[in-house]
Amino acid sequence: MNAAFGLLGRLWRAEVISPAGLVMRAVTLSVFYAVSCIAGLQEYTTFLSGASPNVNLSWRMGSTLGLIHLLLHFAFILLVPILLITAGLLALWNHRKPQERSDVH
Amino acid sequence: MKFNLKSRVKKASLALAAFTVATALWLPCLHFFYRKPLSEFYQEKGVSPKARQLAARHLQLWTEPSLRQIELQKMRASNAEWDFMGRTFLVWSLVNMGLREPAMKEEYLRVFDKIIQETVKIEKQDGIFVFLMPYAKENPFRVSPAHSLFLDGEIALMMGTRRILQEEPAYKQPMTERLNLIEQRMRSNPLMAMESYPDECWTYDHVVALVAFKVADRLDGTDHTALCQQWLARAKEQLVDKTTGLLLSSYKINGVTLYGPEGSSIWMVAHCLQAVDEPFARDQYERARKEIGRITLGFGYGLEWPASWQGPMDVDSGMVVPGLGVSAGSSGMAFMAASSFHDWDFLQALNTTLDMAAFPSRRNGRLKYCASNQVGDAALLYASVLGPLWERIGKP
Repeated sequence: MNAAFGLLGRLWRAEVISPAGLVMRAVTLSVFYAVSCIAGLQEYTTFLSGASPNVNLSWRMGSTLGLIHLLLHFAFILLVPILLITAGLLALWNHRKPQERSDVH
Repeated sequence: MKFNLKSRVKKASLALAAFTVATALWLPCLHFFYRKPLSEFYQEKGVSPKARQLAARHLQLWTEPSLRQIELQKMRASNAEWDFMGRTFLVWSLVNMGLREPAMKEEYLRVFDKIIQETVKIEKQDGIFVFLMPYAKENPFRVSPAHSLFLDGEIALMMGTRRILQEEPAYKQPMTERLNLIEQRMRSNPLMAMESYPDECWTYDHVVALVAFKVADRLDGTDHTALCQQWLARAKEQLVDKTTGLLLSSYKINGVTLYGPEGSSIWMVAHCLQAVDEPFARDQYERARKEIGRITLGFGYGLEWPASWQGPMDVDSGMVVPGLGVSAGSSGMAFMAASSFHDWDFLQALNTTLDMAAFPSRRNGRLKYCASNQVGDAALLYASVLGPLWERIGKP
């Protein structure tokens, strides 16, 4: 448990443009997306069809919730993998060029 | 300081390069995570798993009124037409399913008799405007008494297709009355046009009516071949957009164009034409496929307008992605046309997009798409089972 918290702590403190920093951003986006799914916000994406997302909410409120889920969904399927691949490429670069490790760490 | 700046620029450049490479690697791969065998959506024989799950959801809506009420409220808040079209697509789907699975025919008959009877009852009680958008009341219909081809054609086709699956004498007279009225109005107009809204005629509704005539000919021994041929001849001559060769979507009763070739309309037009004039239908499909059907990175979608036509988005378009012109309405209707014309690559690519962007939700063997609505899901169900009905209508 301590090791896991330690890893999370290191990721949290990592510089943005670094493998650890990018992984942290990917994890953060994934957590937000998971929360959105658990909260059932995908139900509100019906605004995409032009129909009212929820008759008990205003159209604006319902479609805002749907839009949040839509953006998180595309962040999860597009940005998260790209961030992880980028992190992997940067880690590979650092590994292959140990003399330049200070460049991106 | 200089070193620090140089180091930061180098770091950012490296990260940007890695990000670009990662994007170039990931985007072409994404569709593999959503691409499924086509047989999951459409099968030549039998009923595909997805069709079965979509149908289960719709049958549940018609057996649990409270659920249906919620769905209808959501749709009617935007467009009362969708309530009506959701019914017609479901009936046409169930007829195709009944033809595919004769053992299930009785169950389907019960549901769509309920749908037809309730729809006709509502129309009789509340008038035609109950299934039309509010602007239908802003001006009077040019031809009185007010009748909408949208309602008369689709109800006639609902009744006719039900009779194709199993004859029901109670539907013969009301179907014939509606078709007689349509024929009389078409013959009394130089363009053979009948209004769906006041001074607004839709090609979509005319081709649905043509199929209804064809069904009547098959069932009742009437002969509307000449009427259909005359309409087709006029349409080819006067209702085709000169740039794309596609049929216009809507026009005034005097023939003045209102909407050009609209994605949410032309796919269905091609599908219906297939039952009355296959070569013309195929020509329209191929033109539509070229003008507004796209596959990008493995994902299929429909545009609302061809590049040569600047048109507004209406409520049928659904959400349109700004800049790209990708239309939810056009993409949904494209399923029907791709399925009709056996364009398997496009159909599979559309299905890939559906699973990626429409948020499928499965519960207890029932499927719905959260980003869609009841009429959208019914249209998808129809696309996943169509075929046998048109085959039956076309048989000599």
